[in-house]
Amino acid sequence: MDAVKRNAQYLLRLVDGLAQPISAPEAQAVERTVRSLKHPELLDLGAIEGLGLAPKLEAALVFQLLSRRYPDQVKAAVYSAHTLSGVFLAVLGAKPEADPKRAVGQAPEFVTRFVDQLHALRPESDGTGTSLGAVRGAKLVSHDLAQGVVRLKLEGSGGEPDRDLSLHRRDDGAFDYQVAGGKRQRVETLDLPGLRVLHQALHAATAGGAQDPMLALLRRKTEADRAAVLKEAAEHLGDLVTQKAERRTKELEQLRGALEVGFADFRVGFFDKDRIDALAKELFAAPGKKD
Amino acid sequence: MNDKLVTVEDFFLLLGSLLESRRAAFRRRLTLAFAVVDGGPWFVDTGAPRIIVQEWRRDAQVSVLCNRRTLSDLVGGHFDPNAPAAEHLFVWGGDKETFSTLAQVLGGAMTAFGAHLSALKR
Repeated sequence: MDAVKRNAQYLLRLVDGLAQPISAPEAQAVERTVRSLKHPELLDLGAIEGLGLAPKLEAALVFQLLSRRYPDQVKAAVYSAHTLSGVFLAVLGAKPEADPKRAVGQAPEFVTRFVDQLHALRPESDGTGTSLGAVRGAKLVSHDLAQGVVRLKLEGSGGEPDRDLSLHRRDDGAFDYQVAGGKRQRVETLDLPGLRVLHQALHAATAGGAQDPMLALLRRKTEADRAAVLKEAAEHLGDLVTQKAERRTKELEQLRGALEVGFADFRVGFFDKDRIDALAKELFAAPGKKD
Repeated sequence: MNDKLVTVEDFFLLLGSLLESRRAAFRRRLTLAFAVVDGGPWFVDTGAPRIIVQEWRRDAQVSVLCNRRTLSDLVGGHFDPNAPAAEHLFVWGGDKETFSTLAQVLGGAMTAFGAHLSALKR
């Protein structure tokens, strides 16, 4: 069975499980179990799947665990899962009228992404890039001018552990980041909250605001080095924060522009099609292209 | 409000999947043009081999002007057409029958999506 189908079946089982009625004693047992866990963060979805529980109990357990950690995200994900369960049933051929081969060909990407999101629920992302997860701040640990590397400690929040993150200067002057031995990625792919956390940490360090003893030692030894690598990284990240924030502002301005063309008091509902077409033509006009 | 937005691409992938599995339910061909102000133009044609394509066409039976936030909230159940939030935008025009058929085909107990579309008909 390929990963897509396995993921989709897992999600379906979860959705089906949540749809099944659960008795009061069963619900209480699940709640008690979750409350009694000393380290609920260690019980991930894979581990729960391995318990071999009845679907409704497994779903209730997942729901309870995730709800405790990420209440808003779970509410949205579960609502979406219910909403979308019809889609998944159809695309997997569980409904007789669907053509499984054609349907699975249509939706695997979406199913995979949705399940990935469910597996990696993390708060505090604004959707503009990869989230660093539940992070309340970052602290400079060390830097190495020769290697072009800056090491930081990400301080977890909401029960998340601290993690190591390193910034690596590339030959083209940009920076990659790497979390706890994971894959190196361009810093541009981080979301705004992630970029801000890193930028603030580096900015504080360049401004001499960091109180870390390691930094104090480094500062005495390599004052010039510190200024070079940290300032460069801080400026680079600062630019990225500004760029991403500007992009968001532009999107909002575009929306405001659309609203000003006669829709100010009419944001939802039926309207004149010609006016919508005219506005769309303006929005998406490409030189030389027929509409 | 949930800040984790469904991407416009995912929304139309989802819509395409929903429509693909319900092709038989359409007695006539439906065409809808979506102008997503922060997500580009999209064209839905239930009679075409590829139901969704990324282009603007004004010959659609229905034209919709909307934004990503509204599409995302439509899927997530945070968009109430009767009480839209300040950032919601979903204005549509054209053949009411087309919109009505779409809402009926997508409707049903399982899909809040269809229910919201039905609410928009009013």
